[in-house]
Amino acid sequence: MLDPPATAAAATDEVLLQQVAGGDRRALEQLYDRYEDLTYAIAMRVLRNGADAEDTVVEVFWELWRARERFDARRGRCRTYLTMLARSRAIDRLRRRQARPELHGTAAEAPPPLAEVASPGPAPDQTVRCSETKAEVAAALAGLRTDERAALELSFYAGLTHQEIAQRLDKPLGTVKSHIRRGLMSLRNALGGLQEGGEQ
Amino acid sequence: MMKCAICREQLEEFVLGQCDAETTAVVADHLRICPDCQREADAWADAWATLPDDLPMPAKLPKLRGRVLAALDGPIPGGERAELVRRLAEANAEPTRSATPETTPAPSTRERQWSLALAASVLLALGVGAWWSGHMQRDARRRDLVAEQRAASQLAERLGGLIRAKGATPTTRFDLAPVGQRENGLVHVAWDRAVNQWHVFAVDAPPAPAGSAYCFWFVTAAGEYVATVLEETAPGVMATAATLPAKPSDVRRAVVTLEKLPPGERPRGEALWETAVVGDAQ
Ligand SMILES: [Zn+2]
Repeated sequence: MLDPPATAAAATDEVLLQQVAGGDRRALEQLYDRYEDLTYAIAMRVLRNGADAEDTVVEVFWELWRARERFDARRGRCRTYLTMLARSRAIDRLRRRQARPELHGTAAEAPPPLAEVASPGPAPDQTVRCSETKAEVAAALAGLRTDERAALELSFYAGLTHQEIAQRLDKPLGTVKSHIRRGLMSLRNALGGLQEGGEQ
Repeated sequence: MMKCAICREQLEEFVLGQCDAETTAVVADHLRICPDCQREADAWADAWATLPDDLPMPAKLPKLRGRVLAALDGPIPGGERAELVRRLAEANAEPTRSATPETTPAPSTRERQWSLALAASVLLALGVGAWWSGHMQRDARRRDLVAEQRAASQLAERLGGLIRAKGATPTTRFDLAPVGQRENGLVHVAWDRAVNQWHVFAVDAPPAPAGSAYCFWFVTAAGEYVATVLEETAPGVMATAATLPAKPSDVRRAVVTLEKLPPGERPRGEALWETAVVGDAQ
Protein backbone atom coordinates (compact mmCIF):
# COMPACT_ATOMS: atom_id res chain seq x y z
CA MET A 1 0.00 0.00 0.00
CA LEU A 2 2.88 2.35 0.57
CA ASP A 3 4.66 1.55 -2.65
CA PRO A 4 7.25 4.32 -2.61
CA PRO A 5 8.67 5.46 -5.94
CA ALA A 6 11.59 3.21 -6.67
CA THR A 7 14.67 5.34 -6.20
CA ALA A 8 14.60 8.69 -4.44
CA ALA A 9 12.28 7.79 -1.59
CA ALA A 10 13.73 4.34 -0.90
CA ALA A 11 15.79 4.12 2.27
CA THR A 12 19.32 2.85 1.81
CA ASP A 13 20.22 -0.57 3.15
CA GLU A 14 22.23 1.09 5.85
CA VAL A 15 19.32 3.19 7.07
CA LEU A 16 17.11 0.11 7.09
CA LEU A 17 19.75 -1.85 8.96
CA GLN A 18 19.90 0.88 11.60
CA GLN A 19 16.14 0.79 11.91
CA VAL A 20 16.24 -2.98 12.25
CA ALA A 21 18.84 -2.62 14.99
CA GLY A 22 16.37 -0.34 16.73
CA GLY A 23 13.68 -3.01 16.56
CA ASP A 24 11.75 -1.80 13.52
CA ARG A 25 10.03 -4.80 11.98
CA ARG A 26 8.87 -2.95 8.90
CA ALA A 27 12.46 -2.10 8.10
CA LEU A 28 13.26 -5.78 8.37
CA GLU A 29 10.40 -6.54 5.98
CA GLN A 30 11.84 -4.05 3.51
CA LEU A 31 15.27 -5.61 3.77
CA TYR A 32 13.64 -8.99 3.31
CA ASP A 33 11.92 -7.82 0.15
CA ARG A 34 15.23 -6.54 -1.15
CA TYR A 35 17.24 -9.62 -0.33
CA GLU A 36 14.80 -12.50 -0.52
CA ASP A 37 15.84 -13.46 -4.02
CA LEU A 38 19.57 -13.09 -3.35
CA THR A 39 19.61 -15.12 -0.14
CA TYR A 40 17.38 -17.76 -1.68
CA ALA A 41 19.50 -17.96 -4.82
CA ILE A 42 22.67 -18.42 -2.77
CA ALA A 43 21.11 -21.13 -0.63
CA MET A 44 19.74 -22.81 -3.73
CA ARG A 45 23.13 -22.73 -5.41
CA VAL A 46 24.76 -24.37 -2.38
CA LEU A 47 22.01 -26.84 -1.53
CA ARG A 48 20.24 -27.62 -4.84
CA ASN A 49 17.01 -28.17 -3.02
CA GLY A 50 14.13 -25.72 -2.74
CA ALA A 51 12.90 -26.81 0.68
CA ASP A 52 16.39 -26.61 2.18
CA ALA A 53 16.96 -23.24 0.54
CA GLU A 54 13.73 -21.91 2.05
CA ASP A 55 14.70 -23.17 5.48
CA THR A 56 18.02 -21.39 5.10
CA VAL A 57 16.31 -18.10 4.26
CA VAL A 58 14.08 -18.41 7.32
CA GLU A 59 17.17 -18.97 9.44
CA VAL A 60 19.07 -16.04 7.93
CA PHE A 61 16.36 -13.47 8.60
CA TRP A 62 15.61 -14.93 12.00
CA GLU A 63 19.23 -14.42 12.87
CA LEU A 64 19.30 -10.92 11.42
CA TRP A 65 16.32 -10.06 13.59
CA ARG A 66 17.35 -11.80 16.79
CA ALA A 67 20.95 -10.60 16.74
CA ARG A 68 20.01 -7.10 15.61
CA GLU A 69 21.31 -5.35 18.69
CA ARG A 70 24.77 -6.71 18.05
CA PHE A 71 25.16 -5.01 14.70
CA ASP A 72 26.94 -1.79 14.28
CA ALA A 73 24.53 -0.58 11.64
CA ARG A 74 26.56 2.54 11.03
CA ARG A 75 29.17 0.38 9.37
CA GLY A 76 26.63 -0.84 6.91
CA ARG A 77 27.72 -3.46 4.38
CA CYS A 78 24.32 -5.01 4.55
CA ARG A 79 24.52 -6.78 1.23
CA THR A 80 27.87 -8.37 2.03
CA TYR A 81 26.66 -9.38 5.46
CA LEU A 82 23.50 -11.08 4.20
CA THR A 83 25.39 -12.76 1.39
CA MET A 84 27.95 -14.16 3.81
CA LEU A 85 25.31 -15.19 6.30
CA ALA A 86 23.20 -16.97 3.68
CA ARG A 87 26.26 -18.74 2.33
CA SER A 88 27.41 -19.73 5.77
CA ARG A 89 24.04 -21.08 6.89
CA ALA A 90 23.58 -22.95 3.61
CA ILE A 91 27.01 -24.55 3.93
CA ASP A 92 26.23 -25.58 7.52
CA ARG A 93 23.16 -27.30 6.17
CA LEU A 94 25.11 -28.86 3.31
CA ARG A 95 27.62 -30.34 5.74
CA ARG A 96 24.90 -31.78 7.91
CA ARG A 97 23.36 -33.29 4.81
CA GLN A 98 26.66 -34.75 3.69
CA ALA A 99 26.93 -36.40 7.07
CA ARG A 100 23.77 -38.29 6.05
CA PRO A 101 24.62 -39.31 2.50
CA GLU A 102 21.71 -41.72 2.25
CA LEU A 103 19.28 -38.82 2.17
CA HIS A 104 20.82 -36.68 -0.54
CA GLY A 105 23.45 -36.68 -3.18
CA THR A 106 26.71 -34.84 -2.66
CA ALA A 107 25.63 -31.47 -3.90
CA ALA A 108 29.01 -29.82 -3.77
CA GLU A 109 30.71 -32.39 -5.95
CA ALA A 110 29.44 -31.55 -9.37
CA PRO A 111 27.22 -28.52 -9.60
CA PRO A 112 24.51 -28.92 -12.23
CA PRO A 113 24.11 -26.11 -14.76
CA LEU A 114 22.87 -22.94 -13.13
CA ALA A 115 19.90 -22.72 -15.43
CA GLU A 116 18.14 -25.57 -13.70
CA VAL A 117 18.40 -24.03 -10.28
CA ALA A 118 15.53 -21.61 -10.40
CA SER A 119 12.94 -20.22 -12.66
CA PRO A 120 13.93 -16.91 -14.17
CA GLY A 121 12.60 -13.99 -12.20
CA PRO A 122 13.06 -10.27 -11.90
CA ALA A 123 16.57 -8.97 -11.40
CA PRO A 124 17.60 -7.97 -7.86
CA ASP A 125 16.28 -4.64 -6.65
CA GLN A 126 18.04 -1.66 -8.15
CA THR A 127 18.81 -0.26 -4.74
CA VAL A 128 21.07 -3.21 -3.98
CA ARG A 129 23.82 -2.11 -6.32
CA CYS A 130 23.92 0.96 -8.47
CA SER A 131 23.57 0.13 -12.13
CA GLU A 132 27.12 1.11 -13.13
CA THR A 133 28.63 -1.08 -10.48
CA LYS A 134 26.31 -3.87 -11.50
CA ALA A 135 27.50 -3.65 -15.08
CA GLU A 136 31.13 -3.65 -13.99
CA VAL A 137 30.60 -6.63 -11.73
CA ALA A 138 28.74 -8.50 -14.45
CA ALA A 139 31.59 -7.87 -16.85
CA ALA A 140 34.16 -9.00 -14.30
CA LEU A 141 32.21 -12.17 -13.56
CA ALA A 142 31.86 -12.91 -17.26
CA GLY A 143 35.56 -12.28 -17.71
CA LEU A 144 36.75 -14.76 -15.10
CA ARG A 145 38.92 -17.52 -16.49
CA THR A 146 37.55 -21.01 -16.17
CA ASP A 147 40.14 -22.10 -13.63
CA GLU A 148 39.66 -18.94 -11.60
CA ARG A 149 35.92 -19.38 -11.53
CA ALA A 150 36.20 -23.06 -10.59
CA ALA A 151 38.45 -22.26 -7.65
CA LEU A 152 36.30 -19.34 -6.51
CA GLU A 153 33.09 -21.36 -6.70
CA LEU A 154 34.51 -24.33 -4.84
CA SER A 155 35.60 -21.99 -2.12
CA PHE A 156 32.44 -19.94 -1.93
CA TYR A 157 29.63 -22.38 -2.68
CA ALA A 158 31.14 -25.64 -1.48
CA GLY A 159 33.03 -24.20 1.49
CA LEU A 160 36.30 -25.90 0.59
CA THR A 161 39.61 -24.61 1.90
CA HIS A 162 42.37 -23.73 -0.54
CA GLN A 163 44.06 -26.98 0.37
CA GLU A 164 40.92 -28.99 -0.35
CA ILE A 165 40.44 -27.22 -3.65
CA ALA A 166 44.02 -28.05 -4.63
CA GLN A 167 43.30 -31.70 -3.95
CA ARG A 168 39.98 -31.61 -5.74
CA LEU A 169 41.38 -29.94 -8.83
CA ASP A 170 44.68 -31.81 -8.62
CA LYS A 171 46.64 -28.59 -8.79
CA PRO A 172 49.42 -27.24 -6.59
CA LEU A 173 48.24 -25.18 -3.64
CA GLY A 174 50.11 -22.12 -4.89
CA THR A 175 48.30 -22.29 -8.21
CA VAL A 176 44.93 -22.45 -6.51
CA LYS A 177 45.82 -19.53 -4.28
CA SER A 178 46.84 -17.42 -7.23
CA HIS A 179 43.71 -18.33 -9.19
CA ILE A 180 41.58 -17.27 -6.28
CA ARG A 181 43.49 -14.09 -5.68
CA ARG A 182 43.48 -13.11 -9.34
CA GLY A 183 39.79 -13.84 -9.75
CA LEU A 184 38.86 -11.99 -6.58
CA MET A 185 41.07 -9.10 -7.52
CA SER A 186 39.18 -8.56 -10.74
CA LEU A 187 35.88 -8.63 -8.85
CA ARG A 188 37.31 -6.22 -6.35
CA ASN A 189 38.41 -3.87 -9.08
CA ALA A 190 34.90 -3.92 -10.48
CA LEU A 191 33.64 -2.67 -7.14
CA GLY A 192 36.37 -0.06 -6.91
CA GLY A 193 34.16 2.95 -7.51
CA LEU A 194 31.70 1.81 -4.90
CA GLN A 195 34.35 1.46 -2.22
CA GLU A 196 36.02 4.78 -2.91
CA GLY A 197 33.00 7.00 -3.05
CA GLY A 198 29.92 5.17 -2.09
CA GLU A 199 28.54 3.68 1.01
CA GLN A 200 29.84 5.70 3.94
CA MET B 1 52.16 -9.40 17.14
CA MET B 2 51.16 -10.29 13.63
CA LYS B 3 52.54 -8.15 10.83
CA CYS B 4 50.22 -6.62 8.25
CA ALA B 5 51.82 -8.49 5.35
CA ILE B 6 51.26 -11.84 7.01
CA CYS B 7 47.73 -10.92 7.98
CA ARG B 8 46.88 -9.97 4.43
CA GLU B 9 47.92 -13.33 3.06
CA GLN B 10 45.13 -14.88 5.10
CA LEU B 11 42.35 -12.42 4.50
CA GLU B 12 40.63 -13.97 1.48
CA GLU B 13 40.09 -17.20 3.38
CA PHE B 14 39.56 -15.49 6.71
CA VAL B 15 36.53 -13.54 5.55
CA LEU B 16 34.88 -16.80 4.51
CA GLY B 17 35.52 -18.25 7.96
CA GLN B 18 37.74 -20.95 6.49
CA CYS B 19 40.97 -20.45 8.39
CA ASP B 20 41.85 -22.80 11.21
CA ALA B 21 41.03 -21.67 14.74
CA GLU B 22 44.48 -20.40 15.54
CA THR B 23 44.83 -18.33 12.37
CA THR B 24 41.30 -17.01 12.82
CA ALA B 25 42.12 -15.84 16.32
CA VAL B 26 45.41 -14.19 15.38
CA VAL B 27 43.96 -12.44 12.33
CA ALA B 28 40.91 -11.27 14.27
CA ASP B 29 43.18 -9.85 16.97
CA HIS B 30 45.17 -7.99 14.36
CA LEU B 31 42.08 -6.58 12.65
CA ARG B 32 40.92 -5.09 15.92
CA ILE B 33 43.95 -2.87 16.09
CA CYS B 34 44.66 -2.33 12.39
CA PRO B 35 42.06 -0.35 10.47
CA ASP B 36 44.03 -0.74 7.23
CA CYS B 37 43.84 -4.51 7.34
CA GLN B 38 40.20 -4.31 8.45
CA ARG B 39 39.49 -2.29 5.31
CA GLU B 40 41.32 -4.93 3.29
CA ALA B 41 39.19 -7.62 4.89
CA ASP B 42 36.05 -5.66 4.06
CA ALA B 43 37.16 -5.29 0.46
CA TRP B 44 37.76 -9.04 0.10
CA ALA B 45 34.42 -9.79 1.70
CA ASP B 46 32.71 -7.41 -0.72
CA ALA B 47 34.52 -9.06 -3.62
CA TRP B 48 33.38 -12.53 -2.55
CA ALA B 49 29.87 -11.18 -2.18
CA THR B 50 29.75 -10.29 -5.87
CA LEU B 51 29.95 -13.96 -6.87
CA PRO B 52 26.20 -14.55 -6.49
CA ASP B 53 25.47 -11.63 -8.78
CA ASP B 54 25.16 -13.91 -11.77
CA LEU B 55 22.99 -16.52 -10.11
CA PRO B 56 19.53 -16.95 -11.58
CA MET B 57 17.11 -15.17 -9.29
CA PRO B 58 13.88 -16.89 -8.24
CA ALA B 59 10.45 -15.51 -8.85
CA LYS B 60 8.86 -13.94 -5.76
CA LEU B 61 8.20 -16.44 -3.02
CA PRO B 62 5.10 -15.16 -1.21
CA LYS B 63 4.74 -18.23 0.99
CA LEU B 64 8.34 -17.96 2.07
CA ARG B 65 7.85 -14.32 3.00
CA GLY B 66 5.03 -15.31 5.31
CA ARG B 67 7.12 -18.06 6.87
CA VAL B 68 10.10 -15.79 7.44
CA LEU B 69 8.03 -13.08 9.11
CA ALA B 70 6.09 -15.57 11.22
CA ALA B 71 9.32 -17.16 12.45
CA LEU B 72 10.99 -13.95 13.64
CA ASP B 73 9.89 -14.08 17.25
CA GLY B 74 9.81 -17.82 17.56
CA PRO B 75 12.44 -20.32 18.63
CA ILE B 76 15.62 -21.03 16.70
CA PRO B 77 14.45 -22.37 13.34
CA GLY B 78 15.73 -25.87 12.75
CA GLY B 79 16.16 -28.36 15.54
CA GLU B 80 19.69 -29.22 14.51
CA ARG B 81 21.16 -26.00 15.82
CA ALA B 82 19.50 -26.72 19.11
CA GLU B 83 21.30 -30.04 18.97
CA LEU B 84 24.58 -28.23 18.38
CA VAL B 85 24.04 -26.12 21.48
CA ARG B 86 23.26 -29.18 23.52
CA ARG B 87 26.41 -30.93 22.40
CA LEU B 88 28.49 -27.86 23.10
CA ALA B 89 26.91 -27.60 26.52
CA GLU B 90 27.90 -31.18 27.21
CA ALA B 91 31.41 -30.70 25.99
CA ASN B 92 31.83 -27.54 27.95
CA ALA B 93 30.54 -29.03 31.16
CA GLU B 94 33.01 -31.88 30.84
CA PRO B 95 35.93 -31.59 33.25
CA THR B 96 38.90 -31.02 31.03
CA ARG B 97 41.71 -32.20 33.25
CA SER B 98 42.52 -35.76 34.08
CA ALA B 99 43.66 -35.15 37.66
CA THR B 100 41.24 -35.98 40.46
CA PRO B 101 39.02 -33.19 41.76
CA GLU B 102 40.61 -33.39 45.22
CA THR B 103 44.10 -32.49 44.04
CA THR B 104 43.23 -30.06 41.28
CA PRO B 105 42.37 -26.48 42.12
CA ALA B 106 38.91 -25.89 40.74
CA PRO B 107 38.49 -23.09 38.26
CA SER B 108 36.67 -20.16 39.77
CA THR B 109 32.97 -19.83 39.24
CA ARG B 110 33.59 -16.79 37.12
CA GLU B 111 35.87 -18.69 34.82
CA ARG B 112 33.35 -21.45 34.46
CA GLN B 113 30.54 -19.02 33.77
CA TRP B 114 32.70 -17.31 31.24
CA SER B 115 33.41 -20.51 29.39
CA LEU B 116 29.77 -21.44 29.50
CA ALA B 117 28.73 -18.16 27.95
CA LEU B 118 31.31 -18.80 25.27
CA ALA B 119 29.71 -22.09 24.41
CA ALA B 120 26.48 -20.31 23.70
CA SER B 121 28.24 -17.68 21.66
CA VAL B 122 29.50 -20.44 19.38
CA LEU B 123 26.08 -20.26 17.82
CA LEU B 124 26.87 -16.88 16.41
CA ALA B 125 30.58 -17.11 16.07
CA LEU B 126 30.74 -20.35 14.12
CA GLY B 127 28.35 -19.30 11.47
CA VAL B 128 28.41 -15.62 10.83
CA GLY B 129 32.04 -15.64 9.88
CA ALA B 130 35.05 -14.08 11.47
CA TRP B 131 34.89 -11.11 9.15
CA TRP B 132 31.71 -9.75 10.63
CA SER B 133 33.12 -9.68 14.14
CA GLY B 134 34.86 -6.49 13.10
CA HIS B 135 31.43 -4.99 12.55
CA MET B 136 29.92 -5.72 15.88
CA GLN B 137 29.28 -2.95 18.35
CA ARG B 138 31.60 -2.83 21.26
CA ASP B 139 30.14 -1.17 24.27
CA ALA B 140 31.26 -1.57 27.83
CA ARG B 141 28.57 -4.05 28.70
CA ARG B 142 29.42 -6.48 25.94
CA ARG B 143 32.12 -9.04 26.22
CA ASP B 144 35.03 -8.85 23.88
CA LEU B 145 33.68 -10.57 20.82
CA VAL B 146 37.03 -11.35 19.33
CA ALA B 147 38.10 -13.12 22.49
CA GLU B 148 34.76 -14.90 22.43
CA GLN B 149 35.32 -15.93 18.89
CA ARG B 150 38.75 -17.28 19.64
CA ALA B 151 37.54 -19.29 22.56
CA ALA B 152 34.49 -20.38 20.62
CA SER B 153 36.65 -21.72 17.82
CA GLN B 154 38.87 -23.50 20.28
CA LEU B 155 35.83 -24.90 22.00
CA ALA B 156 34.46 -26.18 18.73
CA GLU B 157 37.76 -27.87 17.99
CA ARG B 158 37.81 -29.47 21.39
CA LEU B 159 34.31 -30.78 20.99
CA GLY B 160 35.20 -33.96 19.15
CA GLY B 161 37.94 -34.93 21.57
CA LEU B 162 35.87 -34.17 24.63
CA ILE B 163 32.98 -36.27 23.53
CA ARG B 164 35.31 -39.16 22.80
CA ALA B 165 36.79 -38.81 26.26
CA LYS B 166 33.36 -38.70 27.87
CA GLY B 167 33.41 -42.15 29.42
CA ALA B 168 36.47 -41.34 31.48
CA THR B 169 34.96 -38.54 33.57
CA PRO B 170 31.45 -39.32 34.71
CA THR B 171 29.20 -36.31 34.82
CA THR B 172 25.48 -36.44 35.38
CA ARG B 173 23.42 -34.95 32.59
CA PHE B 174 19.81 -35.01 31.61
CA ASP B 175 17.20 -33.19 29.53
CA LEU B 176 13.92 -31.70 30.66
CA ALA B 177 10.87 -32.40 28.55
CA PRO B 178 8.51 -29.58 27.59
CA VAL B 179 5.20 -29.64 29.45
CA GLY B 180 1.91 -29.53 27.55
CA GLN B 181 1.72 -28.27 24.00
CA ARG B 182 5.18 -26.75 23.80
CA GLU B 183 7.30 -28.09 20.99
CA ASN B 184 10.99 -28.07 20.13
CA GLY B 185 12.10 -26.55 23.40
CA LEU B 186 15.04 -28.14 25.09
CA VAL B 187 16.56 -27.72 28.50
CA HIS B 188 19.78 -29.56 29.06
CA VAL B 189 21.47 -29.94 32.42
CA ALA B 190 24.93 -31.18 33.22
CA TRP B 191 26.69 -31.51 36.54
CA ASP B 192 30.40 -30.85 36.56
CA ARG B 193 31.64 -33.07 39.33
CA ALA B 194 35.11 -31.56 39.34
CA VAL B 195 33.83 -28.21 40.58
CA ASN B 196 30.41 -29.18 41.98
CA GLN B 197 28.70 -26.95 39.50
CA TRP B 198 25.45 -27.22 37.55
CA HIS B 199 25.26 -26.05 33.96
CA VAL B 200 21.82 -25.37 32.56
CA PHE B 201 21.12 -24.52 28.93
CA ALA B 202 17.71 -23.68 27.50
CA VAL B 203 17.31 -23.29 23.78
CA ASP B 204 14.31 -22.49 21.60
CA ALA B 205 12.54 -20.64 24.38
CA PRO B 206 10.89 -17.33 23.49
CA PRO B 207 12.52 -14.35 25.20
CA ALA B 208 11.32 -13.74 28.75
CA PRO B 209 9.14 -10.63 29.11
CA ALA B 210 10.74 -7.60 30.77
CA GLY B 211 10.99 -8.02 34.51
CA SER B 212 10.75 -11.79 34.23
CA ALA B 213 13.22 -14.60 33.74
CA TYR B 214 13.30 -18.32 33.27
CA CYS B 215 14.14 -20.04 36.52
CA PHE B 216 15.56 -23.48 36.90
CA TRP B 217 14.45 -25.31 40.06
CA PHE B 218 15.56 -28.48 41.73
CA VAL B 219 13.24 -30.25 44.10
CA THR B 220 15.43 -32.10 46.58
CA ALA B 221 14.75 -35.40 48.29
CA ALA B 222 13.76 -33.37 51.37
CA GLY B 223 11.11 -31.52 49.34
CA GLU B 224 13.02 -28.24 49.29
CA TYR B 225 13.41 -25.99 46.26
CA VAL B 226 16.67 -24.52 45.06
CA ALA B 227 16.67 -22.11 42.12
CA THR B 228 18.93 -20.39 39.66
CA VAL B 229 17.99 -17.78 37.07
CA LEU B 230 18.80 -18.33 33.39
CA GLU B 231 20.25 -15.47 31.40
CA GLU B 232 20.07 -14.97 27.64
CA THR B 233 23.62 -15.54 26.37
CA ALA B 234 22.83 -15.61 22.65
CA PRO B 235 19.63 -15.12 20.70
CA GLY B 236 17.30 -17.91 21.75
CA VAL B 237 19.80 -19.40 24.16
CA MET B 238 19.57 -19.08 27.91
CA ALA B 239 22.16 -20.46 30.22
CA THR B 240 23.62 -20.39 33.65
CA ALA B 241 26.36 -22.06 35.62
CA ALA B 242 25.60 -22.27 39.31
CA THR B 243 26.88 -23.88 42.45
CA LEU B 244 23.66 -25.11 44.04
CA PRO B 245 23.30 -26.75 47.42
CA ALA B 246 22.32 -29.99 45.71
CA LYS B 247 24.26 -32.89 44.29
CA PRO B 248 22.72 -35.30 41.82
CA SER B 249 22.07 -37.76 44.62
CA ASP B 250 19.97 -35.13 46.47
CA VAL B 251 17.78 -34.20 43.55
CA ARG B 252 14.36 -35.64 42.68
CA ARG B 253 12.85 -33.29 40.12
CA ALA B 254 13.99 -30.47 37.89
CA VAL B 255 11.58 -27.81 36.63
CA VAL B 256 11.86 -24.63 34.59
CA THR B 257 9.30 -21.88 35.12
CA LEU B 258 8.88 -18.30 34.03
CA GLU B 259 9.06 -16.07 37.13
CA LYS B 260 8.72 -12.41 37.90
CA LEU B 261 11.99 -11.16 39.31
CA PRO B 262 13.17 -11.70 41.91
CA PRO B 263 12.02 -15.31 42.20
CA GLY B 264 10.45 -16.43 45.47
CA GLU B 265 11.30 -19.47 47.53
CA ARG B 266 9.00 -21.66 45.49
CA PRO B 267 7.93 -21.49 41.87
CA ARG B 268 4.93 -19.26 41.17
CA GLY B 269 4.88 -19.75 37.39
CA GLU B 270 3.62 -22.92 35.77
CA ALA B 271 6.13 -25.64 34.84
CA LEU B 272 7.36 -25.18 31.29
CA TRP B 273 9.92 -27.96 31.22
CA GLU B 274 10.16 -30.73 33.72
CA THR B 275 11.75 -34.06 34.48
CA ALA B 276 12.13 -36.55 37.28
CA VAL B 277 15.76 -37.07 38.26
CA VAL B 278 16.89 -40.49 39.29
CA GLY B 279 19.20 -39.98 42.25
CA ASP B 280 22.68 -40.84 41.19
CA ALA B 281 25.68 -41.38 43.41
CA GLN B 282 28.07 -39.74 40.99
ZN1 LIG C 1 47.54 -4.60 9.54
